[in-house]
Amino acid sequence: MASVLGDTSCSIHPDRQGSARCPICRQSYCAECITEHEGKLTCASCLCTMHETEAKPKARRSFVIAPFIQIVIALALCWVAYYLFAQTLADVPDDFHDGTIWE
Amino acid sequence: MSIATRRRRRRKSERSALQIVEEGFHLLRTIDVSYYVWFYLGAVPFAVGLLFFTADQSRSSLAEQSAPGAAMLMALLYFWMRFCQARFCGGLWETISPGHLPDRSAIEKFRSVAALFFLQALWLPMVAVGLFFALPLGWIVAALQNFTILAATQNYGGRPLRNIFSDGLKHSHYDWAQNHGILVVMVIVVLFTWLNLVAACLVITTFGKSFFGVESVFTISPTAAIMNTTFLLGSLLLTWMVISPMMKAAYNLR
Repeated sequence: MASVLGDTSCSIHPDRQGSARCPICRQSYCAECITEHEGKLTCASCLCTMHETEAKPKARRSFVIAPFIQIVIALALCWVAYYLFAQTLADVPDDFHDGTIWE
Repeated sequence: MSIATRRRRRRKSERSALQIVEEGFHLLRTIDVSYYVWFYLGAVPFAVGLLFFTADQSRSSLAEQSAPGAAMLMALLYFWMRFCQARFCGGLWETISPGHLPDRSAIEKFRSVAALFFLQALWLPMVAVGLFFALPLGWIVAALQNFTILAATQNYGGRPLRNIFSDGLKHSHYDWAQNHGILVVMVIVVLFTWLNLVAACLVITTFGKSFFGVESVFTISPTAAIMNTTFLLGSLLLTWMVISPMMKAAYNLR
């Protein structure tokens, strides 16, 4: 492997010698451009792509569902509060509403 | 340096409650008129709706049938008011530190608004708990104000609900003496504003009777006119519409 890589240069820095090959894009990279992720050597751009594909479906699902659930719960809570308030108002005697109870 | 010395030094550097209220008042004088338009675009429909809702539910013979629909309308007006208040707080923040409002996408704004609605729906139970136990009321009021401000001014990305809640509570614990000082000042201002409104209603109607002979409910039966629930709620709502921007400005500065 080392002898094969010794002949190639880094695909980002052509003046540098390649020290490892990314198993995803099959390109050679110098020590600065390659990184380790979960025990495997990967280039930075492939790592970014991996992260994006891992994060996107989860985020998208929560993006769509969570706010709507929050709004529905909030609306239901408020509706219950105002409905109970209306019931309480109806139960209060009329002379209290009119202020004549204080006369 | 001991903890006590550090606390003393910190307290000296912090602004007093009166100073915060004064700065808040000055901030309200300097902000753009469009921010007030946003605030009253939410506050006025809510106040009118609540007044109508209360009067209708306490006196109408058809109250029981109309209660579910009216309660839903009130809930919607409440959320609209909270949304407008958040816009107003964003405007205050922009005036205090121009260009520091986060650049958020439409979906991030939507998530923040949803989180704000959820947290503000807990307003009634939270304040009820605060009033019952009395002691935590100051922190609860501060946290509720913080929720609106944080939702409008911070970018929490993926988890706005959890972050707005934790940050709102965290900020409410900052300098409890200053927080309670602001609340005491506000309670006094609310009381005198409300008394002013009631006095104005009485004085104007009395003058109307003296100079023009116009009779009104205030001149026929002043106690019933003032103590009836519609007038009480109306005057309290007017007071709230005057004081609420000041509260928002004070907590924005805090």
